[in-house]
Amino acid sequence: MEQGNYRELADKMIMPEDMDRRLKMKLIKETEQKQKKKVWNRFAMTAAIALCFIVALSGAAVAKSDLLRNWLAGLGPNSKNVEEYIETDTAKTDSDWLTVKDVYLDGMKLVFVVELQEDSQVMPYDITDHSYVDGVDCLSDTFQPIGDGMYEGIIDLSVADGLLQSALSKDTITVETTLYCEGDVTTDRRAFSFTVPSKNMQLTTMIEDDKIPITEIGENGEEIQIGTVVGTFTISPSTIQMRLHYEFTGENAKENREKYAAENLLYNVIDDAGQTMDFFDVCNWSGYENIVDRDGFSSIDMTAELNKYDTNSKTITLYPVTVDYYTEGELAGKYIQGTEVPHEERAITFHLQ
Amino acid sequence: MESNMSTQEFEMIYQQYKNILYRIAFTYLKNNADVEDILQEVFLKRVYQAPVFNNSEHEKRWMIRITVNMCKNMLKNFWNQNMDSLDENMDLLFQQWDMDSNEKTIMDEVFRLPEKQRIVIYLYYFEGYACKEIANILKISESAVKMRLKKGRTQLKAVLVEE
Repeated sequence: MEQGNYRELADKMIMPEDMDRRLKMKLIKETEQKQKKKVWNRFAMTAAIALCFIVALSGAAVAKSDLLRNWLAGLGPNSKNVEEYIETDTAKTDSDWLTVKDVYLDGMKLVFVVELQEDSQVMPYDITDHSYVDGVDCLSDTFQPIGDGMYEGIIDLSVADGLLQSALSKDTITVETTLYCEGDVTTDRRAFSFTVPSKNMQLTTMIEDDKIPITEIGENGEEIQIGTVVGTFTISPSTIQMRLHYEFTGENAKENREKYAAENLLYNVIDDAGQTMDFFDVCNWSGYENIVDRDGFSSIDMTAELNKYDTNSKTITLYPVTVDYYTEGELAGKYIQGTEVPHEERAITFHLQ
Repeated sequence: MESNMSTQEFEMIYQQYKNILYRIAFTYLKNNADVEDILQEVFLKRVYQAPVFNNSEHEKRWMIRITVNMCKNMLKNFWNQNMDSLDENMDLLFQQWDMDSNEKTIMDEVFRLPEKQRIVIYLYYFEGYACKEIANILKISESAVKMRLKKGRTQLKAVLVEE
């Protein structure tokens, strides 16, 4: 194979005509709408200011942050829980090339919007993997442009050891991170820091539920205990982190464990109002750890983060869903759509309050 | 950010880049519906959020990079991680692309490569980019590009020779 040999072949791969037509129409419509919106915005500005005064006087609640709308939209029922905790223009930074706008902080997530000065908007920026919150190494999750030279950044605090305890004794915490020009991680790096009030860190609580027996019905209809599960939950207004420790005993310990807790299972999660979060909405089981399989005993620890689960729910009910997987070809390891079998008989309910 | 771009300017840019961006997005996503969504976003970014470009090559690389980033973001989505199949209408597309059976076989095998090798093979052999340029576009090291090229080439040779 020689480089460029397939140029002619590439030239044949043209956009299908129907897509071309549709795309062009959509783009024209979208740009026209934006133009109309701008004109409308000029008229709407006066009315909006007046409305703000009326709302402020009447004490009614309004959405606090339009800038964090992308993140809020992904929170499902929790978007209403977090809005009141968004800090607008309270973050302070010494950086002269950006301004920190809205910030949301609880013990699990730090979400912020920065606006780059015009001369810094030339190339798209990304965030380095490590950010330091109150000096603790935390994982930078995403950093995405939201338009008008602004970016929305998310830092995951759920794995930050000791941060919650240390931050609670302070009025403010400092966030230090670095941006780099996309495609040039080594040379064009820009560090910045900002401080935010830490009071909302106390919104995060930890709950350990009682040990729950796992039972099955024996041949004569009797209930037999085959194992136990303990759930530990870290709950903030935006997020629930769920850690489950399963233990099974008896002759079929491993087989029973794999019916409830194994990497090839998917899960349905149901809140106390009966709302089901389908298995593909569970934001990944991030850990299958400490698997022990020996004669007559089997155990496993599993961790998952639930972002769209109502954090005010009093319970979490969880049951496994088995699926078939492709075993060959490029799809090997991916599950086959339509083969899902939910096992409601294995449902376990954990208490969150 | 307001756009001062005239309709004629936009039309020119659209015609200039629609096919190369279509090919790159298709190489990642392998289905037309997602490609259409991505390209809509890319062209809107070009209209409203693009920086001042030094020259047309700068503009082209910016648009490719934005397309690559958006495709990667789409693939990060949990649903997409579990759904990975060639467009059901591939045969129709091959007809529309006016490819003979030999060309269809080559394209089919390229699209079946793992994502990381597929995009590197595509940019190198089909778009004629050098390893250094590909490294810059994909935000990976030059040696990673060479490694992926080697792996992709080996896999393609094995498959194409077998047939």
